[in-house]
Amino acid sequence: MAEFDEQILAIRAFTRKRKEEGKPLSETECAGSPDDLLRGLAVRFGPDSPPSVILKEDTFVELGNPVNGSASMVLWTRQTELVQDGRITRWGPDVSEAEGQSLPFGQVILLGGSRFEEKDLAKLERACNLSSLLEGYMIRHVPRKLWSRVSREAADKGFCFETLGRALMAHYKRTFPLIDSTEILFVTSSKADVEELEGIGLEAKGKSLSIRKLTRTRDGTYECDDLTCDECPEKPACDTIREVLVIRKKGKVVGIEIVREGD
Amino acid sequence: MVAPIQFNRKKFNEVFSDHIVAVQSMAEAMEAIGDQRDICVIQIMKAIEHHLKDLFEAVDSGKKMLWHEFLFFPELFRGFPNVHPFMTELLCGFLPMFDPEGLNPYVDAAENIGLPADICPADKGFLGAVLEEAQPPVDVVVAPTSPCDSAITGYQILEQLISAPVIQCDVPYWQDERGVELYEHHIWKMIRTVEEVCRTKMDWDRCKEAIILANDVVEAFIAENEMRKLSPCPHPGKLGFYQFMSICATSGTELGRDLAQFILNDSKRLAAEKKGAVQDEKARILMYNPDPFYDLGVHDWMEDEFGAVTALTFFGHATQTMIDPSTPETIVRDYAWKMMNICMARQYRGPHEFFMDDFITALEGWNVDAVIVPALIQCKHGQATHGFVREACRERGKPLLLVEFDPMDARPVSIDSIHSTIEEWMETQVIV
Repeated sequence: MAEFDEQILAIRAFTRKRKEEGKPLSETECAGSPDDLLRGLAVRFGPDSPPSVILKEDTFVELGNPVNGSASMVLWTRQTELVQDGRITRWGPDVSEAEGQSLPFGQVILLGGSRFEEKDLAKLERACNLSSLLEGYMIRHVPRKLWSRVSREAADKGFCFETLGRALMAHYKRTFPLIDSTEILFVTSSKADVEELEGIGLEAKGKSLSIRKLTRTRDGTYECDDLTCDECPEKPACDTIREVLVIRKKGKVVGIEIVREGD
Repeated sequence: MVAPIQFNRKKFNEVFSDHIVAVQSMAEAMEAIGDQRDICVIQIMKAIEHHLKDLFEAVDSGKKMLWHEFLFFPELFRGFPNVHPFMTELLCGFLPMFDPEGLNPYVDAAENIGLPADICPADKGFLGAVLEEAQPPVDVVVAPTSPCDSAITGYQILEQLISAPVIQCDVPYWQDERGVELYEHHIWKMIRTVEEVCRTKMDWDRCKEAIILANDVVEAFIAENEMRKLSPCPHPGKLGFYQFMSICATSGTELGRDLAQFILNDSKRLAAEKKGAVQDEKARILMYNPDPFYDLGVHDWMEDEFGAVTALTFFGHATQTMIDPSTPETIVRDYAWKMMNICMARQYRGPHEFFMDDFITALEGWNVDAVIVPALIQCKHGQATHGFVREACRERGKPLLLVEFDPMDARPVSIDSIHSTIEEWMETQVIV
């Protein structure tokens, strides 16, 4: 299956299951141009402001503390019909309902673009970082998790997940004019839900690495997809590695002898 | 093959007593000079003094000694009753800071038994200290297979030099679930082996306490990192290195927790007063790769000479995450994940994307004007990234300096030479 279609279908199954279980959700439709999306936004959005820091004592709600559960992924497809443009779905409490709490947090960004190329992937993945673009929202830089804070001031102004979703959509549409559709899913319901999402995220990560030509086979070895050894400029390096492996397997290095003066 | 090297109490006392004196002297000298940038470094020196005194106490009381590589933080090992964790590379980390030539005798000792010059000085340094019988006693050694081949080789050589077992845990190449499971599996095996060798049993309640303290340190470290985005940057460039080294040694103790909290509070105080290491910042620098250990003053010098503050350093970049202390299983799983993601373990394995993703995050997130990438002579894997680094800086219009040196040995490239290279770059490309 192409691009992240498999993971997008897994996300659909994830949401379907929760709908069948009757779990409450919020769905907002807000398609439009970046300007439409940003019109009336509760807080300022733009690259002008210098980086700001939201201290713990100024935090209204913390999202995705790794101990409480955190998952984040950007999934893109050329099958634009797989993405419902402008839809923001949320499972779990909104910002205003979680004062002083540290919520588990899952964020899924779905992007449809029939003219996307594989080389765009790294930039698409990196663009989900809105730190210093969205007033009152700070992303804490930790490995492959999305851990963020919303300030008290922003919450007072009405910052909610729709605000974040609109800002993300506008940012993607502005930065990548080839995007046809964007859809966002937020999950704050429980650690278990976020962990399930994280499983899909790990699969997406593997897919992302393979799209970036970093492929691992089932037996754990690494492969080059589109080169043959006869053409590859890295062949001498691979030959050296193979020679070292042979030396190691033969166990030529057997020990070290220390010779001291007077021995 | 000669007999394994034994613990030499006289030599150990001599070297580590000198070390305590050096730590005390550095703190006293800094207090006397009264430079505001040294406030947190003084606290770190005091914590290290405490840490070294604890080491003497552990040796004197006959505790089992567990040496751990610096990319295994010690919080997990604090759960073993009657076992004292000691970071194998402690001398390598601190000696060059006190004396630029401090590690040279040990590097030479390792080279004299045949280690090539292009092995990392951290590994040559600790092996030399073993050969010179300067290290504390050892009952068991634990090490991950990271950050590089040099370290893997170093610990394999160590196994030949001492009688204690050396346990190496295989750090996965990849950053996926299968990789975490593999590492987790190796860490469980390591725990069982330590229990067997040291005739002890992991006390998970005690371990949990240490994990909670270590989590507090991570949280404070990340928060301090965030404060560095502010302009003026509250803390000086050199602090990141000291923070990382102190965490390597004290993670999982109240001492470490209090120190991290002190540093964060100091940062908040400075930010509230709108004070910084450089009040009127002319440039914000990213230094991404290890600093010269023997010349951490290079940051002070850039601040004083050019008004250029190092907003973030490689060692000072808090990339580690926290550990769920609920059960032994969550502790080991998250410890594996944390150790895969601490500085060096995280960026120096897998494809170059792992390094570059963090590099770009730092470049874009800390409002940086220019970039210094130490091109460490021994880090072949690091040198392979230079093309990507150049491209990333060019795309973002950031002046880049790739400066070659040996991180712990000032003989190949002198302090003067590093400074004159930086000076020329600053004057022609950064402060123009």
